[in-house]
Amino acid sequence: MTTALTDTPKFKQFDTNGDPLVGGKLYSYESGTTTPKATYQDAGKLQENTNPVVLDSYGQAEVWLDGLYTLTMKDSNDVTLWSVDGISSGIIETGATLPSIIAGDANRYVTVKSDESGYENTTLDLSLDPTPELGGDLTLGGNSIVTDTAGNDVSPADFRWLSGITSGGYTLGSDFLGVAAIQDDISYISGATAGGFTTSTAEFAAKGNKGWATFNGNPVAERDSYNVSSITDLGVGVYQVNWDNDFANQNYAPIVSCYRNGGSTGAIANISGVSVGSVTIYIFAADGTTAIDVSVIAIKATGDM
Amino acid sequence: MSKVRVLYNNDGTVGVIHPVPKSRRFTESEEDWLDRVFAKATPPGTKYDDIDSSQLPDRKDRDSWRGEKGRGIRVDKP
Repeated sequence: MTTALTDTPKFKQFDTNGDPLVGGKLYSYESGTTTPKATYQDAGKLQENTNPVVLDSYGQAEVWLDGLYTLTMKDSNDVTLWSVDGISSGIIETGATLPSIIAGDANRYVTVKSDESGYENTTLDLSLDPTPELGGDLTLGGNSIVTDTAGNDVSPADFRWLSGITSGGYTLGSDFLGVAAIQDDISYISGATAGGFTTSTAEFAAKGNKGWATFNGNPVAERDSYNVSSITDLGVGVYQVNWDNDFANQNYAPIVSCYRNGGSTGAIANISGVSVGSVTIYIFAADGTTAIDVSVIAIKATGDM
Repeated sequence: MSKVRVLYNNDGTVGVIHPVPKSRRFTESEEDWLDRVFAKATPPGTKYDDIDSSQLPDRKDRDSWRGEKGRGIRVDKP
């Protein structure tokens, strides 16, 4: 396994006054045990740290991790300040099998390093599944959840990359809670044999656009979309776009426009109603009163989900 | 052709729900998907029929579409 630098360039601690924890002692153990486990001064593991690592006059030290640890922080007088199990180096190489040490552990986070810009720290949060089955393939049991380190959507790009972790891809248990459980995303999970794939509105958080669609006005037909479950034809120039995953409240920001094919008089696209689950759109002729059908309507919405 | 749900409003006008195929879950049957999508977009208490989209009238007369449950959509032109 590859080593990884701790979250900040240097491991740094402060005392209760906010001053550097000079002489602080970082003890490192195998996760969940009192068996000492080495940390390193460099990425190549050429030089082990002492155990404990004694923090310098700036309250910091070079600490590289390899795998899972229990880390215990004590001050210079050996008073324990904190002790945390399950701290991970956070990197699994492409093609690697997830470490068996994670199996059976609750509150574990497996971070995989994606080579795709913007998704470098995709995390598998196994905290809701105390007994994930790990082996040649990764199996996430019921109520597992996939999220990234910022709690954001796990993108199709992530899933595509994650499928390369194991030879067989994912096997998802029943009631798998997918942050991005819309078809576009989950179709990238190769080998998925999920018993059930459910979305969680609370967890659904796509980056940037939370929903968009382009559709023909006459006849009504979706052209392309994201997070849209259906489009209701309410009449000439009146449409309702129904979101697949609702927004958290009505204060999100929908923007609508339209394209009137061959028209020389223009058209006005207006939003007449917003609910957490839908947006109602009116298209008017340039007079602003006559509802008309147009060739293409486009809507995009961003907000909390 | 695809399934649509015709909503019958109390004033005789109709709405038509067009499911978006991309919203179908990986593990969902078509029936489960349509049930979910239609249910989400159907106002409570509204009567409806699920039909094939090929049964819809020509939309050039959309303003004249009227209907009631069990009888489908008719074009009620003056």
